[in-house]
Amino acid sequence: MASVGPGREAETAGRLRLRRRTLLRAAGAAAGIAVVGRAGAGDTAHAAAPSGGATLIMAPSFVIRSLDPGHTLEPDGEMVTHACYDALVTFDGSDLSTPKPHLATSWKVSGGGRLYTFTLRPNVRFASGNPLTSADVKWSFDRVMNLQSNPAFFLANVEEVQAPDPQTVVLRLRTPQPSIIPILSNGALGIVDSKVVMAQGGDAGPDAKTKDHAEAWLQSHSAGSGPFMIQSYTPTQELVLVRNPTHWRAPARMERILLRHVPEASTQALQLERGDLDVAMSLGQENLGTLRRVPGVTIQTSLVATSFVMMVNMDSSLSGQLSNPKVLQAIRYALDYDGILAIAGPGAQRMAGVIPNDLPGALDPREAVKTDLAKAKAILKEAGLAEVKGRLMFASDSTSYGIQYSLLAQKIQSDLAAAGITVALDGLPGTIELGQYRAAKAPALFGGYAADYADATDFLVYLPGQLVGKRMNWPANASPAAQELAQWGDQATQEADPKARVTLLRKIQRRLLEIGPYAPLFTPALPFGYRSDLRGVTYNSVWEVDFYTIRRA
Amino acid sequence: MVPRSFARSPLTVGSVVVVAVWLALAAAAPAIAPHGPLAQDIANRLAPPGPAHWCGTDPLGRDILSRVLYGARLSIPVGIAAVALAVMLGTLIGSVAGAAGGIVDEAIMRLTDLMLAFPTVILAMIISAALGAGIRNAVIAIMVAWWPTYARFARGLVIGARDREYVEAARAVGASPLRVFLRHVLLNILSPIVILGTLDVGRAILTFASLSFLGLGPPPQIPEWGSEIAAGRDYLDQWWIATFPGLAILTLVVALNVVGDGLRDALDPRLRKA
Repeated sequence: MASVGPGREAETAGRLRLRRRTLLRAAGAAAGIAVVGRAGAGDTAHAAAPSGGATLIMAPSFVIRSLDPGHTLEPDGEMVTHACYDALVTFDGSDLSTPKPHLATSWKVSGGGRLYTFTLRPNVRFASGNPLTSADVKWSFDRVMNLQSNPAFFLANVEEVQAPDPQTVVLRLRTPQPSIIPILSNGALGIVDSKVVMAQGGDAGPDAKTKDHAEAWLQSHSAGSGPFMIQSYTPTQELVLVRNPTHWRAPARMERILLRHVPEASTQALQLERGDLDVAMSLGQENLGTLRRVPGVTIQTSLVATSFVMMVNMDSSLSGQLSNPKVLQAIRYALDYDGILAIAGPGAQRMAGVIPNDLPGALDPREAVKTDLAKAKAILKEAGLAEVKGRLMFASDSTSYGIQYSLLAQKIQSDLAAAGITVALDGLPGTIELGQYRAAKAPALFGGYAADYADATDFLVYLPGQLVGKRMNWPANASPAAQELAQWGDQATQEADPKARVTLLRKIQRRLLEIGPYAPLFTPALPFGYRSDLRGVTYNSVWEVDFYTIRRA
Repeated sequence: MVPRSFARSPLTVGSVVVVAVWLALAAAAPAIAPHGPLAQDIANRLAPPGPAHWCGTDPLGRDILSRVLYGARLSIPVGIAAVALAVMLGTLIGSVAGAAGGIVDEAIMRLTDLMLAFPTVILAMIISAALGAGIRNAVIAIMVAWWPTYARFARGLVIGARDREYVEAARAVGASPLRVFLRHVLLNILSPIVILGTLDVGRAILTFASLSFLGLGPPPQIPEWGSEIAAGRDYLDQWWIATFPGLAILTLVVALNVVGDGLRDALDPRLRKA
């Protein structure tokens, strides 16, 4: 998978990330053969605005399908919608565990977990000056649902949005779903100024899919209450945001945000070094060594909500003996996790289950399987499996979070060989490999599933019968144990008590490792760099960088 | 049989020595390589050249010197095999065209024109990508991309040879057309074709390395110069990863080309200095 990014699907060279329902694939394909060089460094036009002062210059990967909250799902798009539109709830910095009140000051759950009642923050005004009321919230959510575009699945379980009074919003769900709170923090669910957008052809009715004509306008304008407003946007090249002087939390410190397209990792590194860029988000592991020695540049790594897992297809006509439960067990003991972590780069963490370490519900990394070659061999010997052969597919041109997939593939091959499991490496271009995986035809592979939203239940995709499970030909009715596991998954999705939920999620992951075709590898860390005079730069897995907290020392 | 002019050029002699050294290194790699080409040592990854690893280690902690030595065992035979196959196929098709003449000749020559219109490396890339990555497919790709050159060459030689007196004589004594073609025509045009092929071995090694640089060669764990360079291209700080396999290609290919040129000069009377 150019990352098994079922979630954010294709992670390829550079860190182009697309999520589950996104259709943009061409960008990933284009990233195929990238010869990294510094030749292009001088080509990038300098923006008119001087670096320094109150302007922040950044180079995201610029995979932006839309800046309309009703359509956007790509992380770079969400970074912009997060800056321009306030959502009901939010998270602080890189944290993904504690949702914080934002436009909603409080919420109550009733009706057996199906009714969510939000009290809105009083006296909030949009950048246009219009007051923000519950009618805007209802209109925004209705529009997302009725547009049936990429982010619509966020609200798939919402039966109705009600606005009983100007300060109150009620979400009626079909089934209990506590993850709705973290979901509501997504930029796509930011509240839009219904009056302004309606004047631009916006529609939130049942026929919004055909009647709404506001997307074009929302590509170069914004209509939210957030700390920034879109000033101009030249697709794939440059995006300028200006400060909203009337933002309810007090105006942001930075006056302007300039997002520029700088395609190559080494070019970004060079520009950051020279001070032409303030923040660089696509730095390869191989550039970090030099950058760390540059005065005036700070390099950080941030754990991301992505789970890197090795997977084996349960269809033995594809995977041969690899799908034998004993072989799966031996694989988990044979992998040299410390070595794999060294390849994953600084900041990456050993992961015990399939839920990334930065989400509540993850297993304690200390619980993770320890490398034990002797045990792996003993298991195979006991099962009478002297010579196990298989095929490991990987995206030969892919790199995500600075991790080269071809290196990881060779590492896994060598680890398994030491235990007597011979896997042939089958390197394919990322887009083709992704296709094989989606068609449930990959014999064995590894990759990272990136969260669509900040909640552990997003990672139940690994369960039998769910998105990844199905791609491993592991249906919910595969066995009584799988059936039970699938049921636990449904329970966890609906469980309202956070403690009980965490307990259940841990139980699910432990069982998943007993009977499932997975070997969890690590939670990756994204290396990013910024000029050292900046304060408040954090990386969040859902919206990347929050411009509001950034200031110059 | 080697003329004196060949032995007199120090450049040519030096190149012969370089090629001979590479052949010896390739043959002796298992005995002289300090480490196994596949042995990973993650704790020692990206180690710079030093006493333990003369050419440093790669991102998986494998010894680069050992991988470069083992790489020769793949690159040299692949280069020779690819050229040999292209020579055989090209000679066969070309001599059929030359011997048959008429519409057959016309058809075959237009086909070679068509093939020659493509840049050979791009053509090899397309074929290799269509067949799938792998050593065998890379060799096939080079063969398919290169045979037209030899076909044209062979056709010219056949046309030149088919009306010679000794061929006429063979026909006159009643030899069958096939016998005339095989014993009297083909045998006599073979040596210039073999020399042209020798000239091309260096280029074939380079093309194979290019294909595997692009991921169209052997699987990544197999030591191969092109893919080793590809693995090192992102590591600008760790110059040794790409430099040593690069030097290997440089020395061998330049030496092979100089030897080929020397051979051609020596055997071509028109170029031989008085």
